Amino acid sequence: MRHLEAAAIGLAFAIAATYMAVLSSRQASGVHHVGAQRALAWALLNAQSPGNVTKLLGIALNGTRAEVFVTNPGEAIQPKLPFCYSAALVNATSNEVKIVTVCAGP
Amino acid sequence: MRLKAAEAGHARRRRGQLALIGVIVLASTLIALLSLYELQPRVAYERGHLQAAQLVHLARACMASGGCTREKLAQLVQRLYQLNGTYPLRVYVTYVRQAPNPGSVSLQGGSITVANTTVFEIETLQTVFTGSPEQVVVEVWMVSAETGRRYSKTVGEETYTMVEVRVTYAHSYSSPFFNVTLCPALRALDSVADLKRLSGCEWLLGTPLELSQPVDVNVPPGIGVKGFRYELKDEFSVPVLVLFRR
Repeated sequence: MRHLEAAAIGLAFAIAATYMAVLSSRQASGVHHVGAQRALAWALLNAQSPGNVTKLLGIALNGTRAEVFVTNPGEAIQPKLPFCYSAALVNATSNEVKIVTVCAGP
Repeated sequence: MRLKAAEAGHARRRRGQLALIGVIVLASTLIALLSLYELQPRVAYERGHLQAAQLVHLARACMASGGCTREKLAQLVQRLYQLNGTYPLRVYVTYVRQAPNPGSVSLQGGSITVANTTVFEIETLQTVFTGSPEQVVVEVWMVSAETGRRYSKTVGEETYTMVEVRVTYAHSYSSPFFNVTLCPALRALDSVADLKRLSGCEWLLGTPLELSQPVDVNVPPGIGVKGFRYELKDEFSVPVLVLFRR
């Protein structure tokens, strides 16, 4: 009987320890969307027109979970992914501006 | 006596079984609670590369429009601030320290170097600790030298005297986050000039003398040089001024 009680107490400890380990391992760590931000930076350095920037951006983001929007200033974006970075593509001759937004997330 | 011992054993067995049942109930409850727990990730937005690249893009756009002065560049930076209110541009506080126009011209041997440098100062996290802003520098430079070769070229009914010029053209971008040198492609604005890339940033240009403009180039320390200018554009639509002497 004492062996059974000891086993029950040991089992309680084991379950509690397992619970703590599982909970700790599932704690969310910091999320960095470095890839999406750097992809847009790289595209901006290597191209100037909105068409070429988005083309390069598509190449850089290939295979990753991201979405790209090209909008005029004032237009709202409705991304499905939560973490977004934007850049303004300016044509200083015509004063035209396009906003390129890349959104990434789990 | 024997009966009492047996009864005591039964009681202990029952307590152990109750303890085991309690453990099972505890485990089930904890697992059920764990399944309801929703995780919220901690998110950090990175800032740096994109914001510096944005300023490089802005400088190139200003140069492409021609006559990029400090005031014009400052207006474009203000536009970024306005857009930052609506879109996640995450701009740094930015000052225009130097505009690309007017650029600098220098003479070394037989080569003429034209440099246009844009300097932005940005208040980054380091500025909080050091008190000094960091810089994003956009440098566009072109070195041209005649090879001495001249030839004739007939386009349609016109015959042109072509002056061969060796050109080195590059963009150099430096920031706290990256240092990049690009060799942008060049293109002629007419169908007369001959343009051939030798390697990387090196080009061989056949310039039609009849379509080149004579200029007086003032080179420090106050030397005036008579020569010609011929304009190309690079892949970012930035005007490229090729200078060569007679």
